[in-house]
Amino acid sequence: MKKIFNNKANIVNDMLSGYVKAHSDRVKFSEINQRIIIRSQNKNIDKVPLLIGNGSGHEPIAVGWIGEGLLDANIVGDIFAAPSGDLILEGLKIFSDHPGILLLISNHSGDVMNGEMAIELAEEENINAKSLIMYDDIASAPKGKESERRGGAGTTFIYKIIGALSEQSNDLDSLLSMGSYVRDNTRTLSVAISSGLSPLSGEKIFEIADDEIFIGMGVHGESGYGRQKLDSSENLVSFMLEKILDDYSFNKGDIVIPFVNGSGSTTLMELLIVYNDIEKYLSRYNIKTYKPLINEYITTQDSGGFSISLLKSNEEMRKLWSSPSSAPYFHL
Amino acid sequence: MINFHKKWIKNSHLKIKDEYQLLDKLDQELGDGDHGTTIFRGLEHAVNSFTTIDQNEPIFFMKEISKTMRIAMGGASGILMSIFFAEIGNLQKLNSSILDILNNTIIKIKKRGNVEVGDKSILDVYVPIFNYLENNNQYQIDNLIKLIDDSVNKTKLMEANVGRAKFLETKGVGVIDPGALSTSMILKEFFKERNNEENI
Repeated sequence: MKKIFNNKANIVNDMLSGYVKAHSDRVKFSEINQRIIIRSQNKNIDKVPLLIGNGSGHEPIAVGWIGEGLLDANIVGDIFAAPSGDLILEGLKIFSDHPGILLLISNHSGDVMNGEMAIELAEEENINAKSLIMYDDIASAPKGKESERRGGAGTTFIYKIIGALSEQSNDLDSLLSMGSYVRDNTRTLSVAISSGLSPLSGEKIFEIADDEIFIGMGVHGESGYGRQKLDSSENLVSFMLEKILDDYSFNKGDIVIPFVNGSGSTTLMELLIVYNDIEKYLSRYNIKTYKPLINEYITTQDSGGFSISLLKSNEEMRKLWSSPSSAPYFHL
Repeated sequence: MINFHKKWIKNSHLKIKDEYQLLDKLDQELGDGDHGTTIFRGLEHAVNSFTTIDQNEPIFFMKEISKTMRIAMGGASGILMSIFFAEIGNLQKLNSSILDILNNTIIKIKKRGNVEVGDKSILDVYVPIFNYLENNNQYQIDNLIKLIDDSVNKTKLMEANVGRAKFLETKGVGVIDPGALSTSMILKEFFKERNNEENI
């Protein structure tokens, strides 16, 4: 395996240590556990904090998104493994004096089980915490079964928009309501072109031929629509956007926020070519775009490929989306 | 009684130490390729915690062990596999029936994991054992071991309906579920140790 680290058992801890040292003006270790990273300056006590627990190996998400206007804390699990509900509870306890706490959960089995357990344990301790399960990947379950879909790159819209709203609002239910609304207006489809190496096994995460692509693959190499021959960016984007537009009513005159996410080893050059083709495709339907996010944010090590996410936006969403954030690795 | 629990956990730890690479290899086909490493880490933390857990009643001792494993393992396997460890704290005497313990374990795994029999999971080991013991009050340890092995082998042909394997092109058909295999190893150590102690 060609990866740079010191000791396999310490990969996550060493990474977090580097992150906190590099951005000590904005983030720090919590006092109770070094797998809980929080903002250097806590959010005002009358506001609702936003947390998530997730497996590592997908950086910069989610640890890189701690900061004003985004996350208040990230509970960091081992590579590709959600942190335990017990640890997530410790993260929730830090904010027990706030009027409420919102725990985001990306729809993957380990994340859901442990997140739900943490919420139950919090209830037993009279902590006002609620969760929002996030999903958006149209390849993982058919239309009509949206709640069974995996959490993909489009969940980013929820992080950012709710994160911005949480700086203004002290009402947990209004954050939940906006989060659900953003989720219901988001669709994502991904394509894999090459596999990264798992730091755990040293092996490729999935197999794919040199001239093949895989439409709809999940962030851990899970399957979706299936394999195809590698094609031009224009044809690939047309295929993917056709699926996305078939899945949800994006209409003439709509303003969408696009997110083109690289999977870990896709160059910005390629991502911008993809974005150019997205603009061309959407303009044919008179669908307008607003402040796209384009780069590698939700990664699976050195995997090649990308995803396209579209959020059908309203004015409030756009305002919150473009509001400033101090998170070290979120750059609109 | 707590010594029995400790001995069983130690034996399980040694067994998984010998087999974790096989479990990792199976998990490479179905998941992240780390199931063996993860369960080994969980049991290692459990064994190391013997000296720091200040509890002598099995129910409280095993609750701490279960939590230790959950934290050390994380993920879906940590939360689901630790359930039996908490429940087994209710075993107050060696010769007590473990039907209620298995039944509670099964109910909790179903609820937490949103999983049913035949979904290719650890439940496909627990449920056959429960059914067998329900119908065979007096059983031969060899027959029980064979049943456990057969149950694990049956997961090879099952399509995964849960976890990441659910999304594989093959749905995991042709590969034994590593969680079912590691669970079988731990349960076999439990029944073997109980059988040894009863025969002393």
